[in-house]
Amino acid sequence: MNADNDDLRRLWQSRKPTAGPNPVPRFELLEDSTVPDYMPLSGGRRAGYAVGFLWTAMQFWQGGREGNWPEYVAWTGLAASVAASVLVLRERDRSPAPNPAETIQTYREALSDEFDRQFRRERRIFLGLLGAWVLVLILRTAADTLKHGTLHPGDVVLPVLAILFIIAGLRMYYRAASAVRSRLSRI
Amino acid sequence: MSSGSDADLRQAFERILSQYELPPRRLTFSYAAEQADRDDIHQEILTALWTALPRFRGDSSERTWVYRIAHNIAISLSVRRHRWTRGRETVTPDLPCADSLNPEAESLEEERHRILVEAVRRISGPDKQIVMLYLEGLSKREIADVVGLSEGAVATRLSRVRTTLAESIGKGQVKYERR
Repeated sequence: MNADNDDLRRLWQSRKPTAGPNPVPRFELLEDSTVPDYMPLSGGRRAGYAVGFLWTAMQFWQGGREGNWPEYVAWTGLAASVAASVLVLRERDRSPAPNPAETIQTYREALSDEFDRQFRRERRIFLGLLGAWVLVLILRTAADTLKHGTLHPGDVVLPVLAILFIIAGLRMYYRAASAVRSRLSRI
Repeated sequence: MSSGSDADLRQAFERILSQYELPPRRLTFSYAAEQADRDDIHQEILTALWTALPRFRGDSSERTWVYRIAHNIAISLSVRRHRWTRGRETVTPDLPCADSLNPEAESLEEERHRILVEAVRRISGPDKQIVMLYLEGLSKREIADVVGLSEGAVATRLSRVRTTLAESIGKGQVKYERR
């Protein structure tokens, strides 16, 4: 290495970067930009929630028609839980966004806190939804057992699968959160 | 800047854009490999500068304020859009020379620059920002002000990272003649 510090600086600054198309933001676009008060849902999430609502409504209606009160109560609880989760998802995070005019050190910490908040929020929603689903499965199993006096193996398998699903989902969230923290410290 | 009218703000923004046109563009090279991604980062930096301008009260110098915003936005976007740097070891800067050189010298200069950019990209954490600010010509005091570390800490890190940088460029086997 023969390059001294001034040479490094000269070399770094010697090149004129190519400007991309329209690099300067237009004033009218900047001034008209407004941020909605809720988070827009992606197409996949919308479809998922639509199917969930439809399925829940059908079960609710069927339970009510057959006079199966445990099922009726269970599905009502799930419907309320799904609705609450959607409301939480759509609600915008009101915490102040990291201020980019802060020092890099402070901004990095604020960014890390923001990601932590985001992951905690998603984990809460995820656990709420799947917890409600497991509750429904357990209540249905209990209701069937009370009604018929026998326990079907299939009724046990579903709650167990649901719990495994929750564990897998939680692992996924923790891994994603850990990957973000790691990236943040590297960049 | 907080009490300025719209016209004053526009004027100030345009002056900042012309005065600091190149540094934000240069720093994007160390955060993204593709031109389109670098343009995205640059656009976001300019938007953040415009948004933050009314709140700029001169607590720090304008220069350090611009560099803080530029680096913070680049860091933020790099974390959110990891694909920018993942799995790409080679940067293709596509940079024309600022000064006209003969073709051979230009080619050598381009290769040296490419190696320097790649070496900076490989540095991780706060050291990366410190070395980029140093290469932009900021003093240790100014770097400390941008990064949020003490001047002594900046000096220590800079000394270490310059050695790393020198080793990286040395491994690039590019003969470097001092001018």
